[in-house]
Amino acid sequence: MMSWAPQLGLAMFVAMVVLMALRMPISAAMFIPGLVGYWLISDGASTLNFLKGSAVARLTVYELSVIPLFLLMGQFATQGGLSRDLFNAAAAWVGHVRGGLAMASVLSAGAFGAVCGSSVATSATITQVAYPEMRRHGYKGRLSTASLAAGGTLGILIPPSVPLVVYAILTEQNIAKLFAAAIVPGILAMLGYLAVIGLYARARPDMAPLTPALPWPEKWAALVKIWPILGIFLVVFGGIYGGIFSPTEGAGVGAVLTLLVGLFKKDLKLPGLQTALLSTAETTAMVFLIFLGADMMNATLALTEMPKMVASWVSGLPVAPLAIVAAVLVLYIALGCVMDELSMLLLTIPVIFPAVMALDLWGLSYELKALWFGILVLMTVSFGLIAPPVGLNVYVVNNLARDVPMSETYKGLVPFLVWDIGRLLVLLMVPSLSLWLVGALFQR
Amino acid sequence: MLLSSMLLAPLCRAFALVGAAVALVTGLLTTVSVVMRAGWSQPIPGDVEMTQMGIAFAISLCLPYCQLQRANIIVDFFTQATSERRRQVLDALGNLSLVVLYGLLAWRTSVGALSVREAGETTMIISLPMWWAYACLAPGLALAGWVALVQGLSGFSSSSQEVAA
Repeated sequence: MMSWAPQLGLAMFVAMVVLMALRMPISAAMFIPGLVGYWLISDGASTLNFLKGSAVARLTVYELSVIPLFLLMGQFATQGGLSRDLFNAAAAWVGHVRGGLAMASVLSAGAFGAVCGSSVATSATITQVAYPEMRRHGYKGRLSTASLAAGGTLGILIPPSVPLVVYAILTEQNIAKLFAAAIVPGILAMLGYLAVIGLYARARPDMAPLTPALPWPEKWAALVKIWPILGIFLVVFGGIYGGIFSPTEGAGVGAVLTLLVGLFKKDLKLPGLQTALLSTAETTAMVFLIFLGADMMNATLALTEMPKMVASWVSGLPVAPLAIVAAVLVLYIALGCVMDELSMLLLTIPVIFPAVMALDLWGLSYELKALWFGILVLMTVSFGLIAPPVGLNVYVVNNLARDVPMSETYKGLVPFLVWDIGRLLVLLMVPSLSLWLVGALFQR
Repeated sequence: MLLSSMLLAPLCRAFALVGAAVALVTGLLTTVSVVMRAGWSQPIPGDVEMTQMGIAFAISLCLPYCQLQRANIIVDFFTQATSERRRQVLDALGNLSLVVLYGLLAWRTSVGALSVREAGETTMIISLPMWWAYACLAPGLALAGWVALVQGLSGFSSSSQEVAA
């Protein structure tokens, strides 16, 4: 190993950050410094040889097939009108309480999150059905858009979840166990958002006028309509945790079932089908292109042995292990504010994960520590999606609700962000919140 | 340039539709296999291998459409204050940097296909030739590179001519 290899690793990092700041697409900003670094450390022939197999090696990872398939499932659910049924059912049951329609949007986002692994898709689809209703009933912009943006994060907080799949693959953890670990924190997030809306609406009744309650038969009729979502969820997750199929197979089954439900309900027609396929294609390519760039970078970083050095340096720090984890989470929150969350994971997990795993945290075993840390990281990812200056969900929601200024949405999001931070602290201090369900489902 | 961009958009869209449809087909294959395994303890042989190859093929076909839509993620936080023209030039450079990525991978993956074919490697269960996995990635990567090149070059001309999306 050359003595200057660690410095080269650092130089690559700096080059990448500069290129990213200069609007170079993130995938290329990782790929090009990685490529140059690889060339310098080894030589031209080995670099070209590495490139011969790198794309195939990444794209044929069996577990990664869940990403396009879960995306497809979410798109079929969107185009098949399932989000509308969910929102109508939630609104029928809670719409009449103060802030009820905003609560209904969060509830339906949570339920939609159970068949969709992307927060952007969840925000977009729920906004399309919920925002016009809230507007019609006189809800003020700030409360509506903030609830929709925050609710959208449930798309990734409640399994399936694309960021969790990425984390599972980077750290070689079991996807099914990670999904199980996410369920309680995800429900906690949803309940907290409901409470925030309740308090908000009570403090500012002008923001959320009361709407009349529906008669009972209509409530039940609306609830009956959501059976397909419930059915898909039960089949997919029942199958995964009942040991009938793997999460990878579950994604395929889920996509096919959702397609069938959409066709059966006659809501999914040819134009919708085409939109679903094209949207899936766009997001799939976006995600995997980042993978290809990050692979080049990470292959070179591994050659420089920088991850190992960072791990040994961190574990030698004279600081409490929990404080180090807290510092990592703060770093993630800061990074997530300015950069895309998925690239953040791809870039930092190979360096930071070994360092965190070397720490003694609550006396947890390696696997439990990895699952718990995954949930904490997921929380910071969701935070970045709604935090200023660039919250992706906020962009998505405001793009559909054009009459509300983005600054209003950010103002409305403050109490939601406070709850996010509070929840992160609770999950940091009480690992069993994430881990008990894993134990309950897998200790047989 | 105009002619090529008129042809590019429908071609990319067709690639993407086929790509997503291939992903759906692997989902269908998995579902049938799961049902057969549960009902008759007899899954489709080689379902995992076919899924791996199918998904890799699908993803590569999706790349050009994403490029066409300029949907690749950039960080625009630090350049919000710069002029429109300067941002345009930076984006053109960004697209050219993607040409390097797509081009290198398309070229090297094709070379990989040839050498793997020569070696005669196959998958474990149903003996699919391994070089298929390499070869099927090349068209998507190459078309995406072509789109990025057209976008990059047109970004420099002052009359910012967009590739029709």
